[in-house]
Amino acid sequence: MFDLIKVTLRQRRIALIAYSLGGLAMIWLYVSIYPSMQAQIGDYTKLIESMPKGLMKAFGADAVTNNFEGLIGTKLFGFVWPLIMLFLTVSFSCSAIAGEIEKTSMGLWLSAPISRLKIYWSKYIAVGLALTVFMVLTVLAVLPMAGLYNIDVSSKHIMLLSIVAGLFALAVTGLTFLASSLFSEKSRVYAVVGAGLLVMYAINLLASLSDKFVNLKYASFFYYYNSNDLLSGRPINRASLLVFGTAAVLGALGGAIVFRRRDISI
Amino acid sequence: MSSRAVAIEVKELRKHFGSFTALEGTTFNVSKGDIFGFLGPNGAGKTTTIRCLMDFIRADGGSAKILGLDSEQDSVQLKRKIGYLPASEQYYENWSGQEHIEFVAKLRGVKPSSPLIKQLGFNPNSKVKHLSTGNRQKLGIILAFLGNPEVLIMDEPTRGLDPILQNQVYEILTEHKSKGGTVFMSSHNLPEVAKICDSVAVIREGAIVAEETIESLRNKSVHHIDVTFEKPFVDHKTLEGNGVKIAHSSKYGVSLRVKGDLNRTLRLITKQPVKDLEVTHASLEEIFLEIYK
Repeated sequence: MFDLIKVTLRQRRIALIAYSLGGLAMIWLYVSIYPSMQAQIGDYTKLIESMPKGLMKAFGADAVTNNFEGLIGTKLFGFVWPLIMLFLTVSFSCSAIAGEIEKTSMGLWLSAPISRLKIYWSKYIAVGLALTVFMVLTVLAVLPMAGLYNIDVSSKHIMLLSIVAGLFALAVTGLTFLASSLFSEKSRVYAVVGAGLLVMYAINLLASLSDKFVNLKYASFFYYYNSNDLLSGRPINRASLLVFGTAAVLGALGGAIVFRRRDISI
Repeated sequence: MSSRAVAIEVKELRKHFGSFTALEGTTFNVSKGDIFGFLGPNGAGKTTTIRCLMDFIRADGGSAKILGLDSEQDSVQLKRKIGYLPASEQYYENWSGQEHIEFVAKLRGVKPSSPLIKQLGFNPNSKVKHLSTGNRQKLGIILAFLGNPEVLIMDEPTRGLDPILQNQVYEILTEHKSKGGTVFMSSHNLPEVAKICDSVAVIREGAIVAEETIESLRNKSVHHIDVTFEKPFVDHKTLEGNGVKIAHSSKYGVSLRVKGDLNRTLRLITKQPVKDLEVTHASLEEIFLEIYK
């Protein structure tokens, strides 16, 4: 099993390093510009407050605080980080199964004396490990980097963010593995998962802009991931844990069942 | 068919892809220690059968057993005993041949070395993306033989190889057979099948239309007769019928294609004074085409 995991990780190592360094660079950027931004934070808050509340809520900037956690909660973990995480998660999960089928290299695995479930779970664990590395380097790394610039950050808040962000990533991983097991072409997986995430994002946006559609927010992953709330010390929304956990488990198990039973014409 | 133990037993295998029927009750046996040729035109069901044997796809009905083990239920156990060469290359383009050998050896739990590397003159250090078609095929053959599997399943093993390398592959397969191994190979190349196979099955539209030894296929008795008479012979039509067709005729001679018993035709011919007579066996290709009529 270890060898199988190693091979999958090896296939994605350059991309993993690139994504992680990108995330790390973003943290460094925010940490390094924060001291100069701090001087202008009053003007920034006024600017935010002058904008329509609905619009700010839609972009997750409704809970801006005058501290570093408020800044990264809105700017970094509210938009840029989820985007990088989604690209990494979807591309890795997509390549793990559908990508291997499309390239026909899955034949090397299938013709070996290992079960399909072992193949599937080794690839899932490999993507999970890649995500763990990414999380450590792009979320938990906030703590030592902020420390270097003498910026106060609550380690508890960062840990809570890590848990919810990690579950969010696992939920997307599970569902992408399901799609990756269903289809034999990466483009179809990207289309289905990408469309699903876009619809969820649009639903969340719509729900925050109009009271008429407010209940639609429950159908969106983006509603359950609120970095601002977590970094401002609000407790974890249990519904977030439940929704992300359920999607992660059902997606991963569904993918395993599909992959074990499906025809792979290579 | 041989009375030896059966290595591969395919019974009433059925597979549909939507409304398309790929296999319609495919049935055949491969004896242990045989090199078995699996013939058929494109789309006949050769690769689908191989994919079922390898458990890449699951049959809608029937069964496929290799060495007494079910290809689907006992897939993992079975693959320890099978070496597989696919029709299309299944490689990581950025890996070298050696990396592939090490990876497959790890998966199979065998040593990552093969005498075939030297025998085939393969450079394992080049990346796959830089390999020629022939070298990619060599790598596939090396990977299929890793760990000396009892049964080899090969989809067109000499595809892309030059005649010298083809002969080397024939030698390798024959050597495998001499050690008691079984080879199941699909092919379009009839001379190749005639040269190395012990028995053959012909598949058409998902069903086996012929299954026999190469020897009996040859004895399907299709002959060409070229005869030149001493005197002009115009009554050609009397020779036709009962499996005899006139391929070509002239004032003094006639070329006949005779399917089945030769004696009747020879008796009719020798009623005239014959100047020259040549009887030749039809090629395996012609016999094959005959089956496909």
